[in-house]
Amino acid sequence: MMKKISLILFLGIGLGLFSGCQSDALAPHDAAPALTEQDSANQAGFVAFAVAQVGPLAVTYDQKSEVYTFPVGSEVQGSVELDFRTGGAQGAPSTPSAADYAAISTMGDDGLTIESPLGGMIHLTANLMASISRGTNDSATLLAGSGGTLDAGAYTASFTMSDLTVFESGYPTGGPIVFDNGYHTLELNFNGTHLVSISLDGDVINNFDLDSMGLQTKPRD
Amino acid sequence: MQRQGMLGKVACLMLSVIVLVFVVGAGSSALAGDDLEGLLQQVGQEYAIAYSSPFLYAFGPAMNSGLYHTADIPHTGLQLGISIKGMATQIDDGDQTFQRVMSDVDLGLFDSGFAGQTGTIIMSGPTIFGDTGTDGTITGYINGLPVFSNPTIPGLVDTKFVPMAAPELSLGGLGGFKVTARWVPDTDIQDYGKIKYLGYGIQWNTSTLLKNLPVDVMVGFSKQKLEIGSLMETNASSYFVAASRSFSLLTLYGGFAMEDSDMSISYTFEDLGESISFKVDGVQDSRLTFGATLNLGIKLNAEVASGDVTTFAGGIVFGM
Repeated sequence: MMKKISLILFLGIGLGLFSGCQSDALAPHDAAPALTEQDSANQAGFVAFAVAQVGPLAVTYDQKSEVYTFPVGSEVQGSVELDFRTGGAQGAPSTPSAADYAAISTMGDDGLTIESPLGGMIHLTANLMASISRGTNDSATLLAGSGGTLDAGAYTASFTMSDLTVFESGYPTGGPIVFDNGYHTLELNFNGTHLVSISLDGDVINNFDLDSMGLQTKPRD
Repeated sequence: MQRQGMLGKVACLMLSVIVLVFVVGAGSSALAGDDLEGLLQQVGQEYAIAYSSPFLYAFGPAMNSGLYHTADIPHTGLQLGISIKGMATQIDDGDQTFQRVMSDVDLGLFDSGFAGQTGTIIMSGPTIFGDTGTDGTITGYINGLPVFSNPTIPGLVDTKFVPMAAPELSLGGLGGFKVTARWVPDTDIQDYGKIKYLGYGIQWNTSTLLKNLPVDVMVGFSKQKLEIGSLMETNASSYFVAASRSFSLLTLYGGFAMEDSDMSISYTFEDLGESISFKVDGVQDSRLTFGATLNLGIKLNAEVASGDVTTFAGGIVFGM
């Protein structure tokens, strides 16, 4: 009898141990540090820069190929796929010069690569849909539903845009681009100059300089 | 052992030596291809600690495993035992990768092009037991953007277990005492230098003190030290109480132990030519053990222990 009780006791302890066979984590898995408003504004500025570089293709591109590769040495590296149509998004495919609608999509998982002035690489994916207007300075208004993602190493963000107009020549106008990196949600608006205003909760906290690729003003207190 | 006679003892001893040579030999060939010291020499201290953490924290608990296979120690009749023990600490899935963050540091320490600029460093990649085909990275950030990303080192061995093997000699049978020793003679292993390993322990069966118990009870302690060249030194100690009960050929046992361990690593960081040395304590300070020993003349033993980490041990025991 005693032997049976001992056997059951031992097996019970053993089963209990086996059922909990899991080791504590030993390797560090530190979270990336939270981003400040300025950090977030800096990231968002590069989205504005990319849109200002890529968006005008809707009215400047004039080649037959459906793929455009940014030239070696330019600030943006990578390729985009272009789809031109007449009669809007559901219209017939057309040549770029006759189109009234364009869709521009980055290619591959990394999309486009932008080298920051300090040397780091930022990757952007985007799908832009634009309604084209012809005139002395052709323009394209980016439609709701346009947006993409930003990959800055340990940080990622998503963005959407609407009512933003790019031109054959000159800086974009309008917006906003709504940028969200999980730490802050920012709104970016263009005003036809090299400065993009960046707002948080309705207050402008920074301007991003499209020419120098950097924040122009210090963040609010 | 008594039944085996002198010839059996010699055969057991020879077999033990063969197994020992096999274990050490297999270890050396597996390790020679990818030299741990060679990998660590490519990274600084912070990276080395994070990269090695599953090994640093879990190796000691592995050493403290397989210290007994029964609580039944004779009180009369001197007996000898020779065994080969294999131990392993199971690591968590997440321990095959790591991410270490350092905020507000001089980025010049990690990329000379950024000397004097303050930012954030994020080190990430496979740990020592992670993917051997993927390099880690050290990435510097300023204002939320990466400014450089430098490749580092891959994993050394892709595994979820921190292994350890040891030959063990035991002598006991007088007054319920048993002494054990784990020892590997100074052995040169390619790329590592000399391996030195010594452990010892004493166990005592309490039946003269605690009478009429339905189980055998034993208390004991063990101390061990392993050195691998100038790269590594690890110490482990354990104080334990165990109980066992035999059922025909099968002995079931369980125990509780208080333990500690530490590991020191020393190497030269080649980029800066600086000597790096650090010491960390093992993660575990107590454990519950459950095991079974099958006595077929030769004893086969297996156990699992639960603490901060889960360890497994098994052994082939000739004699007591």
